[in-house]
Amino acid sequence: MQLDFHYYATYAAAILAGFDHEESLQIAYSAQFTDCCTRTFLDTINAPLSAATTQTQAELADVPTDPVGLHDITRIWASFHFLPENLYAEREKTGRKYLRKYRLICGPNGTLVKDTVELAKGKGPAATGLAMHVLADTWAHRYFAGTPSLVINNTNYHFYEITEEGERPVRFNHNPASPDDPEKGIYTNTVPQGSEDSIMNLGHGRAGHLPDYSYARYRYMPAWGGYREIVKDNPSDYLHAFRQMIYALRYLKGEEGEAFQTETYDERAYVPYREEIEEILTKRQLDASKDWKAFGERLSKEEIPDFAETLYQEEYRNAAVEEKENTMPGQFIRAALAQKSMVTNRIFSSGSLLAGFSVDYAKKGFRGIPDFRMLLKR
Amino acid sequence: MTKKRRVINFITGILLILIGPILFTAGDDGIGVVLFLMFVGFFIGALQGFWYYFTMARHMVGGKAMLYRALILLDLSAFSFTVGRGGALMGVLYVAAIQFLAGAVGVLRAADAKRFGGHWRLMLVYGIICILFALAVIVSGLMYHSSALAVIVYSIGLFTTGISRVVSAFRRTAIVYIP
Repeated sequence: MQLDFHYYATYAAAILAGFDHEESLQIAYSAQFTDCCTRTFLDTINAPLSAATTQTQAELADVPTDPVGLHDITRIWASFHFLPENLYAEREKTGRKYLRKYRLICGPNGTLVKDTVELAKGKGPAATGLAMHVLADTWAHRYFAGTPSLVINNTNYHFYEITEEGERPVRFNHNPASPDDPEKGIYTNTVPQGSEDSIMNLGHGRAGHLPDYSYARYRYMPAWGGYREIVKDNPSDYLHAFRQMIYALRYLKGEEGEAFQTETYDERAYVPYREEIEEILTKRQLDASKDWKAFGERLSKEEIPDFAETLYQEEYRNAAVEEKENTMPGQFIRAALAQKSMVTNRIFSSGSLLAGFSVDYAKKGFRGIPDFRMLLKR
Repeated sequence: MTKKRRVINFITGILLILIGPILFTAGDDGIGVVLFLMFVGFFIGALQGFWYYFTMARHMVGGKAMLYRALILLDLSAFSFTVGRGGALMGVLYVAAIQFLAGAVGVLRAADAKRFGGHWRLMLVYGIICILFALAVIVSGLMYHSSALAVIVYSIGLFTTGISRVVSAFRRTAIVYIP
Protein backbone atom coordinates (compact mmCIF):
# COMPACT_ATOMS: atom_id res chain seq x y z
CA MET A 1 0.00 0.00 0.00
CA GLN A 2 1.09 3.56 -0.43
CA LEU A 3 0.26 7.09 0.69
CA ASP A 4 -3.24 7.16 -0.83
CA PHE A 5 -4.47 4.35 1.40
CA HIS A 6 -2.19 4.69 4.45
CA TYR A 7 -2.81 8.43 4.81
CA TYR A 8 -6.07 9.46 3.15
CA ALA A 9 -8.05 6.21 3.46
CA THR A 10 -6.90 5.77 7.07
CA TYR A 11 -8.12 9.30 7.77
CA ALA A 12 -11.53 8.41 6.27
CA ALA A 13 -11.69 5.18 8.30
CA ALA A 14 -10.90 7.10 11.49
CA ILE A 15 -13.66 9.61 10.79
CA LEU A 16 -16.12 6.77 10.12
CA ALA A 17 -15.01 5.13 13.38
CA GLY A 18 -15.95 8.27 15.27
CA PHE A 19 -12.64 10.08 15.80
CA ASP A 20 -12.63 13.85 15.32
CA HIS A 21 -10.70 15.64 12.58
CA GLU A 22 -7.53 16.35 14.58
CA GLU A 23 -7.30 12.83 16.02
CA SER A 24 -7.94 11.34 12.59
CA LEU A 25 -5.16 13.43 11.08
CA GLN A 26 -2.71 12.24 13.73
CA ILE A 27 -3.70 8.61 13.21
CA ALA A 28 -3.39 9.00 9.43
CA TYR A 29 -0.03 10.78 9.79
CA SER A 30 1.32 7.98 11.95
CA ALA A 31 0.02 5.30 9.59
CA GLN A 32 1.85 6.89 6.66
CA PHE A 33 4.92 7.79 8.72
CA THR A 34 5.53 4.04 9.15
CA ASP A 35 6.68 4.13 5.52
CA CYS A 36 9.06 7.04 6.21
CA CYS A 37 10.72 6.32 9.58
CA THR A 38 14.13 5.18 8.36
CA ARG A 39 17.43 5.10 10.25
CA THR A 40 18.59 7.97 8.07
CA PHE A 41 15.61 10.04 9.26
CA LEU A 42 16.00 9.00 12.91
CA ASP A 43 19.68 9.89 12.77
CA THR A 44 18.85 13.43 11.69
CA ILE A 45 16.67 13.98 14.77
CA ASN A 46 18.99 12.07 17.14
CA ALA A 47 16.36 9.45 17.91
CA PRO A 48 16.94 5.73 18.74
CA LEU A 49 17.91 4.02 15.49
CA SER A 50 16.32 0.71 16.56
CA ALA A 51 12.91 2.35 16.10
CA ALA A 52 13.26 2.31 12.30
CA THR A 53 10.06 1.03 10.70
CA THR A 54 11.35 0.95 7.13
CA GLN A 55 14.56 1.15 5.12
CA THR A 56 15.44 3.21 2.08
CA GLN A 57 16.73 1.41 -0.99
CA ALA A 58 20.20 2.76 -0.28
CA GLU A 59 20.06 1.54 3.33
CA LEU A 60 18.99 -1.88 2.13
CA ALA A 61 21.81 -1.99 -0.37
CA ASP A 62 24.23 -1.11 2.43
CA VAL A 63 23.08 -3.74 4.94
CA PRO A 64 25.38 -6.76 4.91
CA THR A 65 23.35 -9.91 4.37
CA ASP A 66 25.08 -11.63 7.27
CA PRO A 67 22.87 -13.02 10.05
CA VAL A 68 22.89 -9.71 11.97
CA GLY A 69 21.91 -7.74 8.87
CA LEU A 70 19.20 -10.27 7.96
CA HIS A 71 17.78 -10.17 11.50
CA ASP A 72 17.55 -6.40 11.24
CA ILE A 73 15.82 -6.50 7.85
CA THR A 74 13.38 -9.17 9.01
CA ARG A 75 12.54 -7.34 12.23
CA ILE A 76 11.64 -4.22 10.29
CA TRP A 77 9.75 -5.72 7.38
CA ALA A 78 7.99 -8.56 9.21
CA SER A 79 6.96 -6.30 12.10
CA PHE A 80 5.56 -3.39 10.10
CA HIS A 81 4.86 -4.38 6.49
CA PHE A 82 4.55 -8.17 6.18
CA LEU A 83 3.08 -9.39 9.45
CA PRO A 84 3.24 -13.22 9.42
CA GLU A 85 -0.15 -14.92 9.26
CA ASN A 86 0.70 -18.17 11.02
CA LEU A 87 4.04 -18.75 12.76
CA TYR A 88 3.14 -22.39 13.33
CA ALA A 89 2.03 -23.27 9.79
CA GLU A 90 2.98 -26.76 8.62
CA ARG A 91 4.10 -28.02 5.26
CA GLU A 92 4.98 -31.61 4.49
CA LYS A 93 8.33 -32.91 3.28
CA THR A 94 10.31 -29.76 3.93
CA GLY A 95 13.23 -29.10 6.22
CA ARG A 96 13.23 -26.75 9.21
CA LYS A 97 15.13 -24.03 7.40
CA TYR A 98 12.54 -23.87 4.63
CA LEU A 99 9.65 -24.08 7.06
CA ARG A 100 10.90 -21.10 9.09
CA LYS A 101 10.80 -18.90 6.01
CA TYR A 102 7.45 -20.32 4.90
CA ARG A 103 5.95 -19.40 8.27
CA LEU A 104 6.80 -15.73 7.74
CA ILE A 105 4.38 -15.42 4.81
CA CYS A 106 2.13 -12.44 5.44
CA GLY A 107 -1.64 -12.69 5.58
CA PRO A 108 -4.67 -11.11 7.25
CA ASN A 109 -6.49 -12.24 10.37
CA GLY A 110 -3.59 -14.05 12.01
CA THR A 111 -3.02 -13.98 15.76
CA LEU A 112 -0.28 -11.38 15.29
CA VAL A 113 -2.81 -8.89 13.89
CA LYS A 114 -4.83 -9.31 17.04
CA ASP A 115 -1.68 -8.83 19.16
CA THR A 116 -0.74 -5.75 17.13
CA VAL A 117 -4.08 -4.00 17.57
CA GLU A 118 -4.35 -4.92 21.25
CA LEU A 119 -0.81 -3.65 21.83
CA ALA A 120 -1.83 -0.22 20.54
CA LYS A 121 -4.83 0.11 22.83
CA GLY A 122 -4.61 3.07 25.18
CA LYS A 123 -1.29 4.22 23.68
CA GLY A 124 -2.55 7.24 21.74
CA PRO A 125 -2.88 8.20 18.08
CA ALA A 126 0.72 7.41 17.09
CA ALA A 127 0.39 3.76 18.19
CA THR A 128 -3.09 3.58 16.66
CA GLY A 129 -1.86 4.82 13.27
CA LEU A 130 1.08 2.44 13.31
CA ALA A 131 -1.23 -0.50 14.06
CA MET A 132 -3.51 0.55 11.17
CA HIS A 133 -0.54 0.52 8.82
CA VAL A 134 0.39 -3.00 9.87
CA LEU A 135 -3.21 -4.24 9.65
CA ALA A 136 -3.81 -2.73 6.20
CA ASP A 137 -0.57 -4.17 4.83
CA THR A 138 -1.56 -7.69 5.86
CA TRP A 139 -4.18 -7.47 3.09
CA ALA A 140 -2.10 -5.78 0.42
CA HIS A 141 1.08 -7.78 1.03
CA ARG A 142 -0.44 -11.19 1.64
CA TYR A 143 1.43 -14.15 0.11
CA PHE A 144 4.84 -12.45 0.49
CA ALA A 145 7.27 -12.59 3.43
CA GLY A 146 9.07 -9.73 5.14
CA THR A 147 12.45 -11.37 4.87
CA PRO A 148 14.74 -11.74 1.88
CA SER A 149 13.88 -15.14 0.41
CA LEU A 150 14.09 -16.45 -3.12
CA VAL A 151 12.20 -19.66 -2.32
CA ILE A 152 9.25 -17.72 -0.88
CA ASN A 153 9.06 -14.35 -2.65
CA ASN A 154 10.16 -15.14 -6.18
CA THR A 155 7.77 -14.91 -9.13
CA ASN A 156 8.24 -16.03 -12.72
CA TYR A 157 6.90 -15.35 -16.22
CA HIS A 158 3.53 -16.86 -15.31
CA PHE A 159 1.97 -13.56 -14.26
CA TYR A 160 -1.29 -12.24 -15.76
CA GLU A 161 -3.28 -9.14 -15.04
CA ILE A 162 -7.05 -9.54 -15.03
CA THR A 163 -8.85 -6.52 -16.46
CA GLU A 164 -12.43 -5.86 -17.52
CA GLU A 165 -11.40 -6.56 -21.12
CA GLY A 166 -9.89 -9.91 -20.22
CA GLU A 167 -6.42 -11.08 -19.29
CA ARG A 168 -2.98 -10.09 -20.47
CA PRO A 169 0.54 -11.10 -19.44
CA VAL A 170 2.23 -8.56 -17.17
CA ARG A 171 5.37 -7.14 -18.76
CA PHE A 172 7.97 -6.45 -16.09
CA ASN A 173 11.04 -4.30 -16.51
CA HIS A 174 13.74 -3.62 -13.93
CA ASN A 175 14.36 0.08 -14.43
CA PRO A 176 13.36 1.84 -11.19
CA ALA A 177 13.23 5.17 -13.03
CA SER A 178 10.54 4.02 -15.47
CA PRO A 179 7.02 4.62 -14.18
CA ASP A 180 4.46 1.82 -14.17
CA ASP A 181 2.04 1.95 -17.09
CA PRO A 182 -1.35 0.44 -16.18
CA GLU A 183 -2.74 1.09 -19.66
CA LYS A 184 -0.12 -1.03 -21.39
CA GLY A 185 0.34 -3.42 -18.47
CA ILE A 186 4.05 -2.58 -18.02
CA TYR A 187 5.34 -2.63 -14.44
CA THR A 188 8.71 -2.39 -12.72
CA ASN A 189 9.94 -5.16 -10.46
CA THR A 190 13.25 -6.08 -8.87
CA VAL A 191 16.03 -7.79 -10.79
CA PRO A 192 15.94 -11.61 -10.58
CA GLN A 193 18.64 -12.70 -8.17
CA GLY A 194 19.62 -16.30 -7.56
CA SER A 195 20.80 -15.59 -4.02
CA GLU A 196 18.35 -16.65 -1.32
CA ASP A 197 19.16 -13.66 0.89
CA SER A 198 19.41 -10.96 -1.76
CA ILE A 199 17.41 -7.83 -0.92
CA MET A 200 15.92 -8.13 -4.43
CA ASN A 201 13.96 -11.05 -2.95
CA LEU A 202 12.53 -9.06 -0.05
CA GLY A 203 8.74 -8.79 0.24
CA HIS A 204 6.83 -8.19 -2.98
CA GLY A 205 9.80 -6.76 -4.90
CA ARG A 206 9.56 -9.50 -7.50
CA ALA A 207 5.90 -8.65 -8.14
CA GLY A 208 6.67 -4.95 -8.42
CA HIS A 209 4.15 -2.51 -7.03
CA LEU A 210 1.12 -4.52 -8.16
CA PRO A 211 0.18 -5.42 -4.56
CA ASP A 212 0.19 -1.67 -3.77
CA TYR A 213 -2.40 -0.71 -6.40
CA SER A 214 -5.98 -1.07 -5.21
CA TYR A 215 -7.37 -1.63 -8.73
CA ALA A 216 -5.06 -4.54 -9.56
CA ARG A 217 -6.34 -8.06 -10.08
CA TYR A 218 -3.81 -10.64 -11.16
CA ARG A 219 -2.97 -14.31 -11.11
CA TYR A 220 0.52 -15.69 -10.71
CA MET A 221 2.51 -18.60 -9.40
CA PRO A 222 4.28 -17.82 -6.13
CA ALA A 223 7.60 -19.57 -5.54
CA TRP A 224 6.23 -21.27 -2.42
CA GLY A 225 2.95 -22.43 -3.96
CA GLY A 226 3.96 -25.82 -5.35
CA TYR A 227 2.94 -24.81 -8.92
CA ARG A 228 -0.53 -23.80 -7.76
CA GLU A 229 -1.79 -20.47 -9.05
CA ILE A 230 -2.97 -17.64 -6.83
CA VAL A 231 -5.56 -15.07 -7.84
CA LYS A 232 -5.05 -11.77 -6.02
CA ASP A 233 -8.11 -9.51 -5.97
CA ASN A 234 -6.89 -6.18 -4.63
CA PRO A 235 -10.22 -4.28 -4.76
CA SER A 236 -11.80 -6.94 -2.54
CA ASP A 237 -8.77 -7.12 -0.22
CA TYR A 238 -8.55 -3.34 0.09
CA LEU A 239 -12.24 -3.10 0.93
CA HIS A 240 -11.77 -5.73 3.63
CA ALA A 241 -8.78 -3.77 4.92
CA PHE A 242 -10.81 -0.56 5.05
CA ARG A 243 -13.71 -2.21 6.87
CA GLN A 244 -11.40 -4.00 9.29
CA MET A 245 -9.63 -0.70 10.02
CA ILE A 246 -12.96 0.93 10.94
CA TYR A 247 -13.73 -1.94 13.31
CA ALA A 248 -10.20 -1.86 14.77
CA LEU A 249 -10.33 1.90 15.25
CA ARG A 250 -13.66 1.60 17.07
CA TYR A 251 -12.10 -1.10 19.23
CA LEU A 252 -9.16 1.17 20.03
CA LYS A 253 -11.63 3.90 20.88
CA GLY A 254 -13.07 1.55 23.48
CA GLU A 255 -16.33 0.80 21.73
CA GLU A 256 -15.97 -2.86 20.80
CA GLY A 257 -15.28 -4.78 23.99
CA GLU A 258 -12.10 -6.01 25.67
CA ALA A 259 -10.63 -8.23 22.97
CA PHE A 260 -10.02 -7.50 19.32
CA GLN A 261 -11.69 -10.10 17.13
CA THR A 262 -10.12 -11.22 13.86
CA GLU A 263 -12.36 -11.78 10.82
CA THR A 264 -14.61 -9.01 12.04
CA TYR A 265 -15.38 -6.07 9.79
CA ASP A 266 -17.39 -2.90 9.98
CA GLU A 267 -20.95 -3.62 8.84
CA ARG A 268 -22.54 -0.22 9.34
CA ALA A 269 -20.48 2.93 8.91
CA TYR A 270 -19.12 2.18 5.43
CA VAL A 271 -22.45 0.98 3.94
CA PRO A 272 -23.77 4.42 2.79
CA TYR A 273 -20.46 4.99 0.99
CA ARG A 274 -19.90 1.52 -0.39
CA GLU A 275 -20.34 2.42 -4.06
CA GLU A 276 -18.14 5.48 -3.76
CA ILE A 277 -15.39 3.51 -2.01
CA GLU A 278 -15.56 0.69 -4.56
CA GLU A 279 -15.33 3.23 -7.36
CA ILE A 280 -12.09 4.62 -5.90
CA LEU A 281 -10.68 1.15 -5.31
CA THR A 282 -11.35 -0.10 -8.85
CA LYS A 283 -10.30 3.04 -10.76
CA ARG A 284 -7.17 2.25 -12.78
CA GLN A 285 -4.75 4.81 -11.41
CA LEU A 286 -1.33 4.58 -9.77
CA ASP A 287 -2.17 7.08 -7.03
CA ALA A 288 -5.71 7.40 -5.63
CA SER A 289 -4.79 10.18 -3.18
CA LYS A 290 -6.96 12.81 -4.87
CA ASP A 291 -10.08 10.63 -4.71
CA TRP A 292 -9.49 9.45 -1.13
CA LYS A 293 -8.77 13.02 -0.04
CA ALA A 294 -11.99 14.31 -1.58
CA PHE A 295 -13.89 11.45 0.07
CA GLY A 296 -12.32 12.14 3.47
CA GLU A 297 -13.01 15.85 3.23
CA ARG A 298 -16.65 15.19 2.36
CA LEU A 299 -16.95 12.99 5.44
CA SER A 300 -15.41 15.43 7.92
CA LYS A 301 -16.13 18.71 6.11
CA GLU A 302 -12.57 19.69 6.99
CA GLU A 303 -9.52 20.16 4.83
CA ILE A 304 -6.92 17.37 4.89
CA PRO A 305 -3.42 18.83 4.58
CA ASP A 306 -0.89 17.11 2.33
CA PHE A 307 1.28 14.60 4.15
CA ALA A 308 4.64 16.03 5.22
CA GLU A 309 7.02 13.53 6.81
CA THR A 310 8.98 16.28 8.59
CA LEU A 311 5.83 17.78 10.18
CA TYR A 312 6.79 16.96 13.77
CA GLN A 313 10.55 16.85 13.27
CA GLU A 314 11.32 20.20 14.92
CA GLU A 315 8.96 19.50 17.81
CA TYR A 316 11.05 16.42 18.65
CA ARG A 317 14.39 18.11 18.06
CA ASN A 318 13.54 21.08 20.26
CA ALA A 319 11.92 19.15 23.11
CA ALA A 320 13.88 18.67 26.34
CA VAL A 321 15.18 15.11 26.79
CA GLU A 322 12.52 14.19 29.35
CA GLU A 323 9.80 15.70 27.14
CA LYS A 324 10.75 13.96 23.89
CA GLU A 325 8.58 10.95 24.66
CA ASN A 326 5.51 13.15 24.83
CA THR A 327 5.95 14.50 21.32
CA MET A 328 4.29 12.83 18.34
CA PRO A 329 7.57 11.31 17.04
CA GLY A 330 8.42 10.24 20.61
CA GLN A 331 5.13 8.35 20.92
CA PHE A 332 5.61 6.85 17.47
CA ILE A 333 9.13 5.69 18.38
CA ARG A 334 7.85 4.04 21.54
CA ALA A 335 5.04 2.31 19.64
CA ALA A 336 7.49 1.13 16.97
CA LEU A 337 9.88 -0.33 19.55
CA ALA A 338 6.99 -2.10 21.28
CA GLN A 339 5.70 -3.57 18.01
CA LYS A 340 9.16 -4.70 16.93
CA SER A 341 9.78 -6.21 20.35
CA MET A 342 6.47 -8.09 20.30
CA VAL A 343 6.82 -9.50 16.78
CA THR A 344 10.47 -10.49 17.30
CA ASN A 345 9.46 -12.28 20.48
CA ARG A 346 6.67 -14.19 18.73
CA ILE A 347 8.98 -15.26 15.88
CA PHE A 348 11.71 -16.28 18.34
CA SER A 349 9.21 -18.17 20.49
CA SER A 350 8.07 -20.13 17.43
CA GLY A 351 11.59 -21.59 17.23
CA SER A 352 12.94 -19.33 14.47
CA LEU A 353 16.03 -17.12 14.66
CA LEU A 354 15.19 -15.25 11.45
CA ALA A 355 14.43 -12.05 13.37
CA GLY A 356 17.16 -12.60 15.96
CA PHE A 357 17.03 -13.30 19.65
CA SER A 358 14.36 -12.10 22.03
CA VAL A 359 14.99 -11.80 25.74
CA ASP A 360 11.92 -11.97 27.94
CA TYR A 361 12.41 -9.14 30.44
CA ALA A 362 10.05 -10.68 32.97
CA LYS A 363 12.20 -13.81 33.15
CA LYS A 364 15.76 -12.66 32.51
CA GLY A 365 15.92 -8.92 33.12
CA PHE A 366 17.33 -6.43 30.65
CA ARG A 367 19.88 -7.80 28.18
CA GLY A 368 20.32 -6.68 24.61
CA ILE A 369 19.95 -3.55 22.50
CA PRO A 370 19.89 -0.52 24.85
CA ASP A 371 17.32 1.42 22.75
CA PHE A 372 14.62 -0.93 24.05
CA ARG A 373 15.19 0.22 27.62
CA MET A 374 12.72 2.97 26.78
CA LEU A 375 9.91 0.40 26.94
CA LEU A 376 10.56 -0.10 30.65
CA LYS A 377 9.23 3.37 31.39
CA ARG A 378 5.52 2.96 31.89
CA MET B 1 23.52 -14.40 16.42
CA THR B 2 24.37 -17.78 17.89
CA LYS B 3 27.55 -18.28 19.97
CA LYS B 4 28.92 -20.63 17.31
CA ARG B 5 28.41 -18.00 14.62
CA ARG B 6 30.09 -15.37 16.81
CA VAL B 7 33.17 -17.59 17.25
CA ILE B 8 33.34 -18.28 13.50
CA ASN B 9 33.00 -14.56 12.74
CA PHE B 10 35.76 -13.72 15.22
CA ILE B 11 38.22 -16.29 13.88
CA THR B 12 37.63 -15.46 10.19
CA GLY B 13 37.81 -11.74 11.07
CA ILE B 14 41.23 -12.16 12.69
CA LEU B 15 42.47 -14.25 9.74
CA LEU B 16 41.37 -11.57 7.25
CA ILE B 17 42.98 -8.83 9.37
CA LEU B 18 46.27 -10.76 9.23
CA ILE B 19 46.11 -11.63 5.52
CA GLY B 20 45.16 -8.07 4.41
CA PRO B 21 48.44 -6.27 5.29
CA ILE B 22 50.59 -9.16 3.99
CA LEU B 23 48.81 -9.03 0.63
CA PHE B 24 49.05 -5.22 0.60
CA THR B 25 52.82 -5.40 0.15
CA ALA B 26 52.79 -8.22 -2.42
CA GLY B 27 52.45 -6.00 -5.52
CA ASP B 28 51.80 -7.71 -8.89
CA ASP B 29 52.70 -11.08 -7.37
CA GLY B 30 49.67 -10.84 -5.10
CA ILE B 31 47.22 -11.44 -7.96
CA GLY B 32 47.91 -15.16 -7.63
CA VAL B 33 46.68 -15.00 -4.04
CA VAL B 34 43.63 -12.98 -5.14
CA LEU B 35 42.81 -15.64 -7.74
CA PHE B 36 43.30 -18.39 -5.17
CA LEU B 37 40.94 -16.63 -2.77
CA MET B 38 38.46 -16.29 -5.64
CA PHE B 39 38.77 -20.02 -6.24
CA VAL B 40 38.08 -20.69 -2.57
CA GLY B 41 35.09 -18.30 -2.68
CA PHE B 42 33.58 -19.85 -5.82
CA PHE B 43 34.16 -23.39 -4.54
CA ILE B 44 32.48 -22.68 -1.21
CA GLY B 45 29.71 -20.94 -3.16
CA ALA B 46 29.23 -24.07 -5.29
CA LEU B 47 29.02 -26.33 -2.23
CA GLN B 48 26.55 -23.94 -0.62
CA GLY B 49 24.58 -23.94 -3.89
CA PHE B 50 24.19 -27.72 -3.88
CA TRP B 51 23.19 -27.66 -0.21
CA TYR B 52 20.71 -24.84 -0.92
CA TYR B 53 19.12 -26.77 -3.76
CA PHE B 54 18.59 -29.94 -1.76
CA THR B 55 17.33 -28.21 1.41
CA MET B 56 15.40 -25.22 0.02
CA ALA B 57 15.18 -24.61 -3.72
CA ARG B 58 13.75 -28.00 -4.67
CA HIS B 59 10.51 -26.85 -2.99
CA MET B 60 10.41 -23.72 -5.13
CA VAL B 61 8.77 -23.08 -8.48
CA GLY B 62 11.66 -23.14 -10.97
CA GLY B 63 14.11 -24.30 -8.31
CA LYS B 64 16.18 -26.41 -10.76
CA ALA B 65 17.88 -23.17 -11.84
CA MET B 66 19.67 -23.16 -8.47
CA LEU B 67 21.19 -26.55 -9.23
CA TYR B 68 22.56 -25.26 -12.55
CA ARG B 69 23.89 -22.16 -10.77
CA ALA B 70 25.86 -24.32 -8.36
CA LEU B 71 27.33 -26.23 -11.29
CA ILE B 72 28.41 -22.96 -12.95
CA LEU B 73 30.08 -21.81 -9.72
CA LEU B 74 31.94 -25.10 -9.52
CA ASP B 75 33.10 -24.50 -13.06
CA LEU B 76 34.24 -20.96 -12.23
CA SER B 77 36.14 -22.19 -9.20
CA ALA B 78 37.99 -24.72 -11.36
CA PHE B 79 38.73 -21.95 -13.88
CA SER B 80 40.08 -19.58 -11.19
CA PHE B 81 42.28 -22.36 -9.86
CA THR B 82 43.77 -23.36 -13.20
CA VAL B 83 44.07 -20.01 -14.93
CA GLY B 84 47.19 -18.97 -12.96
CA ARG B 85 48.74 -15.53 -13.34
CA GLY B 86 47.62 -15.37 -16.97
CA GLY B 87 44.11 -14.74 -15.67
CA ALA B 88 45.08 -11.55 -13.85
CA LEU B 89 42.52 -9.56 -15.85
CA MET B 90 39.72 -11.67 -14.36
CA GLY B 91 40.91 -10.75 -10.86
CA VAL B 92 41.25 -7.09 -11.81
CA LEU B 93 37.69 -6.87 -13.17
CA TYR B 94 36.33 -8.73 -10.16
CA VAL B 95 37.95 -6.27 -7.73
CA ALA B 96 36.84 -3.26 -9.81
CA ALA B 97 33.22 -4.46 -9.92
CA ILE B 98 33.04 -4.90 -6.14
CA GLN B 99 34.60 -1.48 -5.58
CA PHE B 100 32.26 0.24 -8.03
CA LEU B 101 29.20 -1.27 -6.37
CA ALA B 102 30.35 -0.10 -2.92
CA GLY B 103 30.88 3.39 -4.32
CA ALA B 104 27.46 3.55 -5.97
CA VAL B 105 25.79 2.52 -2.69
CA GLY B 106 27.77 5.20 -0.82
CA VAL B 107 26.61 7.91 -3.23
CA LEU B 108 22.97 6.77 -3.00
CA ARG B 109 23.11 6.77 0.80
CA ALA B 110 24.60 10.26 0.79
CA ALA B 111 21.74 11.46 -1.44
CA ASP B 112 19.24 9.97 1.02
CA ALA B 113 20.95 11.55 4.03
CA LYS B 114 21.07 14.95 2.29
CA ARG B 115 17.34 14.77 1.58
CA PHE B 116 16.68 14.49 5.33
CA GLY B 117 19.29 17.09 6.28
CA GLY B 118 21.62 14.50 7.85
CA HIS B 119 25.39 13.98 7.62
CA TRP B 120 25.98 13.20 3.96
CA ARG B 121 29.37 14.65 3.03
CA LEU B 122 31.49 11.82 4.46
CA MET B 123 29.31 9.18 2.78
CA LEU B 124 29.59 11.02 -0.54
CA VAL B 125 33.37 11.29 -0.25
CA TYR B 126 33.57 7.57 0.59
CA GLY B 127 31.36 6.71 -2.41
CA ILE B 128 33.36 8.86 -4.80
CA ILE B 129 36.69 7.46 -3.55
CA CYS B 130 35.42 3.90 -4.06
CA ILE B 131 34.30 4.70 -7.62
CA LEU B 132 37.63 6.40 -8.39
CA PHE B 133 39.45 3.35 -7.02
CA ALA B 134 37.36 1.10 -9.28
CA LEU B 135 38.21 3.22 -12.33
CA ALA B 136 41.89 3.33 -11.36
CA VAL B 137 41.97 -0.46 -10.99
CA ILE B 138 40.47 -0.89 -14.47
CA VAL B 139 42.79 1.68 -16.05
CA SER B 140 45.91 0.22 -14.46
CA GLY B 141 44.82 -3.30 -15.40
CA LEU B 142 43.79 -2.65 -19.01
CA MET B 143 46.21 0.11 -20.03
CA TYR B 144 49.31 -0.62 -17.98
CA HIS B 145 48.80 -4.37 -17.56
CA SER B 146 49.46 -4.00 -13.85
CA SER B 147 47.44 -5.80 -11.23
CA ALA B 148 49.26 -4.23 -8.26
CA LEU B 149 46.52 -1.66 -7.60
CA ALA B 150 43.83 -4.37 -7.72
CA VAL B 151 45.82 -6.36 -5.17
CA ILE B 152 46.13 -3.29 -2.89
CA VAL B 153 42.39 -2.50 -3.12
CA TYR B 154 41.51 -6.17 -2.54
CA SER B 155 43.81 -6.32 0.51
CA ILE B 156 42.20 -3.18 1.98
CA GLY B 157 38.83 -4.83 1.39
CA LEU B 158 39.97 -7.97 3.22
CA PHE B 159 41.25 -5.90 6.13
CA THR B 160 38.04 -3.86 6.54
CA THR B 161 35.88 -6.99 6.13
CA GLY B 162 37.95 -8.61 8.88
CA ILE B 163 37.37 -5.68 11.21
CA SER B 164 33.61 -5.65 10.52
CA ARG B 165 33.46 -9.41 11.19
CA VAL B 166 35.19 -8.99 14.55
CA VAL B 167 32.90 -6.07 15.39
CA SER B 168 29.80 -8.05 14.39
CA ALA B 169 30.96 -10.94 16.62
CA PHE B 170 30.51 -8.62 19.59
CA ARG B 171 27.36 -6.79 18.43
CA ARG B 172 24.33 -6.90 20.65
CA THR B 173 21.47 -8.40 18.72
CA ALA B 174 18.86 -9.39 21.28
CA ILE B 175 15.57 -7.57 21.34
CA VAL B 176 13.97 -7.19 24.74
CA TYR B 177 10.37 -8.27 25.06
CA ILE B 178 8.48 -6.49 27.78
CA PRO B 179 5.10 -8.12 28.36
